[in-house]
Amino acid sequence: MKLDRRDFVRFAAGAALATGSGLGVRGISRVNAALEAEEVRVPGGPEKWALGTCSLCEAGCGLRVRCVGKRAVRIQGNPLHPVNRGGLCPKGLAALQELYHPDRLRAPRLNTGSRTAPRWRDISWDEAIATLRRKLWELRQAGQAHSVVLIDRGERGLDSRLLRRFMEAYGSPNYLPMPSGLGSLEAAMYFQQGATRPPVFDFDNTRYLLSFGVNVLEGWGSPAAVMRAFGRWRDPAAGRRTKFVQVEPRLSLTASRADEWVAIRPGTEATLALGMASVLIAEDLYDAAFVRERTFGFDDWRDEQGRAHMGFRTMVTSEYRLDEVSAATGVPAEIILKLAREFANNRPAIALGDHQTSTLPGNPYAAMAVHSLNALVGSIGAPGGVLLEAAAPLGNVGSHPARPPIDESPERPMPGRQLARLPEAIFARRPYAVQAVLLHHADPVFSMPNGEAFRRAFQEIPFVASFTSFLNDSSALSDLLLPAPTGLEEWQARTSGPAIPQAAVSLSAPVVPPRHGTRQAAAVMIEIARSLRGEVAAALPFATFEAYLKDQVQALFTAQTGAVFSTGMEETWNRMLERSGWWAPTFSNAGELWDQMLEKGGWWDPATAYGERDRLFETPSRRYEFYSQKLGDWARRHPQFAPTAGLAAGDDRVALPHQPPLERAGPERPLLLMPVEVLPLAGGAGAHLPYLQQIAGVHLSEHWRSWLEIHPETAHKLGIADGDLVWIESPRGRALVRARHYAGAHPETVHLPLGYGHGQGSEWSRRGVNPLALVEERCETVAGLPCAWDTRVRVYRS
Amino acid sequence: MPRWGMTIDLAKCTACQACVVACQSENNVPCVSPEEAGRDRILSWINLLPAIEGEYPRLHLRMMPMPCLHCDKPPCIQVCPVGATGISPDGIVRQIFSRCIGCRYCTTACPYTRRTFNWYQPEFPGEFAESLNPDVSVRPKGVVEKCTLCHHRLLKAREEARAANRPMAEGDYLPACAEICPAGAITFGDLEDPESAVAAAARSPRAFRLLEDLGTHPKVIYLGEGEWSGGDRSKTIS
Repeated sequence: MKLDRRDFVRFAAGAALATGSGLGVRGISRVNAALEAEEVRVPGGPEKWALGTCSLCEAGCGLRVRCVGKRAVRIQGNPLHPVNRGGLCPKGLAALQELYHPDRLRAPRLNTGSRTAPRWRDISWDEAIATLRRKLWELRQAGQAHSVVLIDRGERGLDSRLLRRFMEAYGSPNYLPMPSGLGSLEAAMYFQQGATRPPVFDFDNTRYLLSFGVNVLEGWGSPAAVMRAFGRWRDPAAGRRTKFVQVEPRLSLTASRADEWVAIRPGTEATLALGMASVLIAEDLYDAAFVRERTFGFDDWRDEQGRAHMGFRTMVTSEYRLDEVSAATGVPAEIILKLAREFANNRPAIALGDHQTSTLPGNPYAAMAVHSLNALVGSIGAPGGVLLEAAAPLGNVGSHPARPPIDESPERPMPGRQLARLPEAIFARRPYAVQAVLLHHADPVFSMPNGEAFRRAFQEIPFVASFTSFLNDSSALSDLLLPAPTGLEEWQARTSGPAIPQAAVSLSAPVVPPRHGTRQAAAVMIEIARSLRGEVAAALPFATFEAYLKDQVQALFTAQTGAVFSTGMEETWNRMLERSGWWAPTFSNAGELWDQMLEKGGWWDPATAYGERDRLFETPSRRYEFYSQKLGDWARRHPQFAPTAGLAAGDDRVALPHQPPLERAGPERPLLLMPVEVLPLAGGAGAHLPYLQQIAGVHLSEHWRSWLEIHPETAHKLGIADGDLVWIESPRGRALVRARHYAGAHPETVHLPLGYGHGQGSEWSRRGVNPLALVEERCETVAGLPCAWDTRVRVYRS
Repeated sequence: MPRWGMTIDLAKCTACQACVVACQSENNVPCVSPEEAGRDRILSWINLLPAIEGEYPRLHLRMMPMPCLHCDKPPCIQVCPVGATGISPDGIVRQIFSRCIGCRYCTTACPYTRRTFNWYQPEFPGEFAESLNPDVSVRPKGVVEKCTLCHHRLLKAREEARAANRPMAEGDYLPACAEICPAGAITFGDLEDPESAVAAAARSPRAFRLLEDLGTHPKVIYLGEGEWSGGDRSKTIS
């Protein structure tokens, strides 16, 4: 008889049973019965490390993936990648579960039922591509090419550039990326700086960060890059500590990690920012030279017609007096004074806001108020301040078709696009009817605040096709499902965007071969372009997506700047060389650049960053505008505009930063609903991954479900105990959720985490409640951004 | 003989939990079902302990990443009836999974509650098992598990150094949590080597050990949050 150790222990326990009482031993024998279960054996194999690019958010961190045989077993950060330098956030690490997920789409599917009651039939890729091609061919032949809309998950990937090039060659102006969540900031940049590029915040070099409700450490921007900067701020070896102050009604994780948390009444961030501006002016703490030489509208002024206009100084000193600001915001006057003095005396300083998450923008006027603090201390364009995104010298995307984009708004001062407007345009069939929608890893039904409108709108569209790895709320409404590989199985290239001040392009080959016969959208569209012939085929003359990427790398090489990712030492050397006019590449042709990019993870230009001050201000005055002439002109030409912003016609405030009107609480719905972002589910993705579900509610020890944060005293008044199931009721509807007492919740507000409550797809992602289903579908009038922050609710026990 | 130890700088920690997921992925720690998670049966070798104190708006929310603290005098090893846990000469508190009989005396004895019990046979839904690490065995039901400081990585690093005929250098051996931390809050190395970064960090005036008065002598050392953090937070936890 062969006896192993466990058998022996059981045997010994049995002997004990024979001599003593059976009481304690029953437990042991039950445990031992379990030991007979089959052990999980993990196969080995040859080991290698491959470079990859993270696709769980738009930041595009560099990955190193450990592979054993054909399996990817571990994800780490690429230490050479300038965005993350070896670190990673938990989302990136969970990509393995996405790769091996049980609920992935495995074959193309055709909906043979209706939109509301789909019946899916598996089809071959040939049939799927033929179906999509036929639809696109017919629409183009019928002169309806412009009526095709493509919604992309973002626009940082080079595959997105390819899709955009396809759309433009095909004849549609409707390539629409999902919003970045930075909408209010972009509006402030546009009106005050005339910039159409997103801002970049030089966190690595700043001395003071004042965030107005931005979820800095919970998914905003590029999480790994932000966290790396945060670690540096507090590294004793890096010199003086950078102070980080978080202004926010709720004690968020970000607020708890900040050096100081300033609790503020919800929605009054603009008042606080302008109150601080008034202190800076009154105490003469602002950068007088910058304000004099590089700004417009600080002092009272007269226009060409001789009309007098109110200056920023007059407005803030008369309307945002310390005691009034303190009363309105609930922030003690001495704290406001202290913040203003610290902000002015710890330069370079950055003011960031107003409140926004990676999916929900704030208000443009409030963002302008916050940004005016940056102007007052001369942080714009300065190292450690607010810069503009550096664009990588990639080839042109294409020409713009003649038709107007479907979502462009002629009624708002902020030009350009708002995806949120799409349903409205679809219902109105204006400027034209939409005939087809293509979705590329995008789920607007779930992640747009007006998702419900998207749901109804998609039901009206004759043809919807979706490239996606998982069924989601939007793709469930499609006619054709095209299963896409996950990030580790595909060619990836992406620009880093506003994560770092430098331009960077990551490049990586598939880490593991695509599973389940999935195909990358870019490859499919190249094939379709070829078969559509004519100018579409001519615009994408590539055999494969890889060939397209080689073409883009050729453009990088031709630009003759930058270097392959490298260690910090080489980077400093390259930067010094380039600043003195040298370019000493490690490659002598595009082929070598390609090989080296694959070997190190990508290309970047360590020298691009500052010194662009001349191009910083593209406003009519070529200066930073406290008084936005663009907004002022718009209001003069559209007298009906000012009232929509809550102002009288002719009021100068329409072009100046100011506190937007606040929703008042009524007895009906006494509480404010604030959706909050948690890092593991930031951006609406991640709920299908157990690794992330387990850690998303850590501050309240919540796992796998939504929770409603409510202040214990507020809860007590409503008779709600910790853990009670409650109804939360907004004008849009109600939802059942577990209430959790949280001392960090603002007493007049309840907080509900974003990212939960998907309607379709993996069973794991369908848990919990989506707060966006409760927020009111309203848009502000300057840029048409959704107002997700002022929904009033009632909460009661179920 | 090195004495492996770790410092966790609470001032740098962003509470992002990358360490938690990195550890889980490196060490084949399965995700339990949502129902089991609700019963507090999540398996984790490192997790964040939240603590909130004060009244709105004068509040502190602290998040403490906590692996096994690898005590020099671990209470857990004294109670194990089968010698499944012990301390190695270089200071790592080991757990020999195949020896464990699941009596859970050690989970009770650990004052830091850093040991978890496999209530069920581990499950890897779908193809999750494809991503399992071949260097770490999957623990069956009925076995206690805990942080091993990624001991398998030490073995590998030691072998690689030996093959290259050189002594092990600082950074050759890092546990998954220390390696991934995006904020650089975790420093790991040889506490005996006065030149090492971890020894330098351990000498910081901000350094403290959890429940020091128990005499367990943990080798995972915390650095308090320091200036601007509203008083001395480091002392309040114990």
